[in-house]
Amino acid sequence: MSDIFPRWTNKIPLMVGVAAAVVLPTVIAGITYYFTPKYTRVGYQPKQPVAFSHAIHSDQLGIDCRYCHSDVDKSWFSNIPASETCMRCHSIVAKDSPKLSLVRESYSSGKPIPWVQIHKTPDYVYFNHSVHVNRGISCVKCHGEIQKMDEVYHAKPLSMGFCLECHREPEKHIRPNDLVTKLDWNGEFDGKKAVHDWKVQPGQSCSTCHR
Amino acid sequence: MKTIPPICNEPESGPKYWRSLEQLADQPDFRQWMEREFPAGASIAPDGETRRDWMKLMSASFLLAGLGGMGTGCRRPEEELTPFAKQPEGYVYGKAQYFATSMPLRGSAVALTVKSSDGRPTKIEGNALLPGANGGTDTFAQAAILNLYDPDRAHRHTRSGNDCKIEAVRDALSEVAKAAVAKHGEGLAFLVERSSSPSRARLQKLISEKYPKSAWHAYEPVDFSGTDAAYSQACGTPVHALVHLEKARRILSLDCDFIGSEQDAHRSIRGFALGRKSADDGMNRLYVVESMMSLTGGNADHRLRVKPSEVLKVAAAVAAELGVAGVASPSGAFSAWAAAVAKDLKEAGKAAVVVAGYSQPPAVHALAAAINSVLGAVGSTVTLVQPTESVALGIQELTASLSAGKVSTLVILGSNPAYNAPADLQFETVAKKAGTVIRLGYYEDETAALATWHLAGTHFLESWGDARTADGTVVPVQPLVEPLFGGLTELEVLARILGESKVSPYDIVRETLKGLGATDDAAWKRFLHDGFLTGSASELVRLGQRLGRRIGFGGT
Repeated sequence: MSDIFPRWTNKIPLMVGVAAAVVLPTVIAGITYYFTPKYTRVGYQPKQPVAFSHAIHSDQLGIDCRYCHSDVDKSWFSNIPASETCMRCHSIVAKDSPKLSLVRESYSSGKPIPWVQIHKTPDYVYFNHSVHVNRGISCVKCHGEIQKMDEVYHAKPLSMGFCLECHREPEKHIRPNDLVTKLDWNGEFDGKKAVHDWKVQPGQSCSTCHR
Repeated sequence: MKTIPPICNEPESGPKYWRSLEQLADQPDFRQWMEREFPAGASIAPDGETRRDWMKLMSASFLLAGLGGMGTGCRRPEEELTPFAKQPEGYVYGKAQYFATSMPLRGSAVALTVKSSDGRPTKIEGNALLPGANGGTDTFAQAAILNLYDPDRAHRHTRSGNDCKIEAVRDALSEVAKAAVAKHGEGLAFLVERSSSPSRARLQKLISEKYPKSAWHAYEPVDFSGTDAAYSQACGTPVHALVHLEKARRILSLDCDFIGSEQDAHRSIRGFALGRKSADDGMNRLYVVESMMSLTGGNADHRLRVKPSEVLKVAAAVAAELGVAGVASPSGAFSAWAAAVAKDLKEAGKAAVVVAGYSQPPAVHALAAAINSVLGAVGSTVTLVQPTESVALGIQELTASLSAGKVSTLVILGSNPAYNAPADLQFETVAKKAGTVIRLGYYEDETAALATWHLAGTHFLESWGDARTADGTVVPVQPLVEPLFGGLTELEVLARILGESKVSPYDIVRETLKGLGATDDAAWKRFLHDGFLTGSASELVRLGQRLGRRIGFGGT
C-alpha cells in the first residue's frame, strides 16, 4: 500500500507556524505604521488657492492668531477669516500684488475663497476650539509650529492617542492663558496649580469626544 | 417561463379601483407594457462579447479602480472651507443665534424664541422673558418649524394657473386699488382668517374708511369662540375670558382638552403644571367629563366617560347641585359623580374653575360660565378682559352676496374655504361668480384652483408682523430668514390694495407700534429684543358680580 501523504507533509505544521510568526508581526507592524494618522495625515500639504504665508504674517509681523481666527475662543469652530479681514490691511499694503488677485476678486464679488481644509476631526468626534484655547492649550499643541510655515501642512497626527496623551496629563501641556497665542513661548509654568485653579477636567471617558 | 398574474376581474358593479395613474389613463403603450414581462430588447443577445465575458471584464475593472494606488478609495476626499467674503457683524461661525418672535394663532399668539443656525431657523421654543410664559409652547408651535421647510408650499405666484412675476402681482393689486377708489369699494369683499394682529386691524379700519362699501368676512373651520360668546352674552358686552389654571385648586373640564387641542394650550399646560406641583397647598384636582380619551383625560384624577350627548346633562347636574338659577337636575348614571364634584367645587369656592371644550354647544359654555359665577370664580380663576378682535361678517353673508352677483373682486387671505367651508354653502360654485378672485395662500390647494391670482404666502418665520397673546400683550412677528420663495405677507397685500405708499410689512408694523406706545427707536428695539411690549395687556372688564343673575338658562 502506497503512502497517501508524502513524507514532507509532516513539516506542514512547522511551516505554518514559522510563516505565521513572520507574517503576523509584519501585518500588525504594517497596519500600525501605514494605516494610522501619523503616516496618512502628517505632512499633508495641499495647494491653497491663495499663497498665504503664516511665517510672514504671524512670525515676522507678529499679528495675533485671533486677529484672523477671531471666533476661536468663542465657538467650537476656528473660523477661516473672511476676505474682508484680508482686505482691511491689503487695501493699503501690497494692494496691487498679483498674488492677492483672488482675494480682491472675492471681496468685490462676494464669492468665497475655496480654501482647502487640512485639519479635520472626523464627524464622530466632538472637538471644541474655545474650551481648549480658553484653558491654556496653545495652538501649537495641535497645529505644530504654524508660525514658521510658509504653506500650512498637517504637523501632528491628531489621532485618538494624541488627544488622550494630553487629556491624561494636562499639566504638562497647559500654559498661561494670555500666552496661548504666543506660539514660540517656552517658559516655566506651574501646570499642576493651573489645572487645579482653573478646574480643568479633561474627560477620558468615551462620551467626552464621541458624544 | 412567464408568470401569468392572477386574474383580478373588475367587479360588475360598485366602485372600480385603479392601482396606478397609468392604469387609470389606460393608454395602449401601458397595456403593451403590462402584458410583456421584460422590457423590449432584453432577450436579444449582444453581438461580439457575450454577456458573461462583459460581466467578468467589468468586475475586474471595478476592482482595479478601487485599488488605484491607494489614492482613490482610501484617501480622505479633499474638502473646501469657504468663509464669507464679507462676514456679517456680530456673527460667530458655529454659534447659534436666538431671536424673539411669535407664532400667530386664531385670535391669539405664542411668544417664541427661535434658534437660528447659520441663518436658518432650526428650533422653536417659548419666550421665557414674557411674564407668566416661562418658555412654554405647544405641539403646534413645535411643529411649525417643519412647516417652513415643507416642500409642498406654494413656490410661485400664478395667474389663472400659470406662473407670473411679482411685478405683475403688484400691478394687479394696484388695479384693484384703483377700481376700489373709483367705486368706493363697491363689489370688493375680503375673506380672512381670524387674527389678533394690531397692524391688520389698523389696515382693516383704514380700508373700511377709504372704501366704505367694501365688506369684511372672517371664517375659520374650527370655532374656538364658544367660551367668549357665553361670557359676552352673560355680561351683555363683548369680553374675552382668560382662565388661570395656576390659581385653580379644583378643575372641572367639560370635554375640554386644554392640554392638547384647545386654543392657547401652551398657556393651559403651564398653568395646570404649576397648580399640580404647587408645594404649599397641595396638588390641584382635575375632574374630566369626556367621551374620547384625551391627554387631559389621561391627567385627570377623576374621569367620567359619557356619551357626547350627555356632557350637557352632567354640566346641568353639577349646575343644579350648585344652585344655578333655572337649571333642573337631570337624572342619570352620573348623578352621584356630579353631586360629589359639585360638593368639592363648592368647598374650593373661588379657587375652583369649570372649563368647557370648543366642540361643546353654547348651552354647555353658558352652564360653565354660570357655575363659575356662582362659585365666585369669575374675577379669580377666570378673568374677563377687553376683546381685541376686529369685527367682520361671516361666510354665510359672503356666499349670499356672491350668489347675488354683488362681489366683483374677492380677496381671500389665507383660508381654504373651497375645502373647509360648509358644503351647503357651495363656496366653489358661487366664488366663480366673482369677476376676480385674489388669493394669498401657503399651499396651492382647492381654493388656489379657483383663484384668478394666487399669491404665495409667507411663513411667520419669514415675515414681519405683530400679534396679541391670549391676554392681549402685543408681540412681534420677526423674520429669521428672507422669504424662501419670495412670498407676500397679508399686511403687504392689504397695504397695496389700500394704495399706501409704505407697503413693506416692516414699515407697517413700526407705524402700528408707534400708535401702541413704542414711539422711539429704543422702545422699538426693546420690543424686538424682549419679544413683547410691556404693559400692553388688555384691560380687565369688571362685571363679575352681576354675571350670575344675568344668565337666563331654561333647563335641559
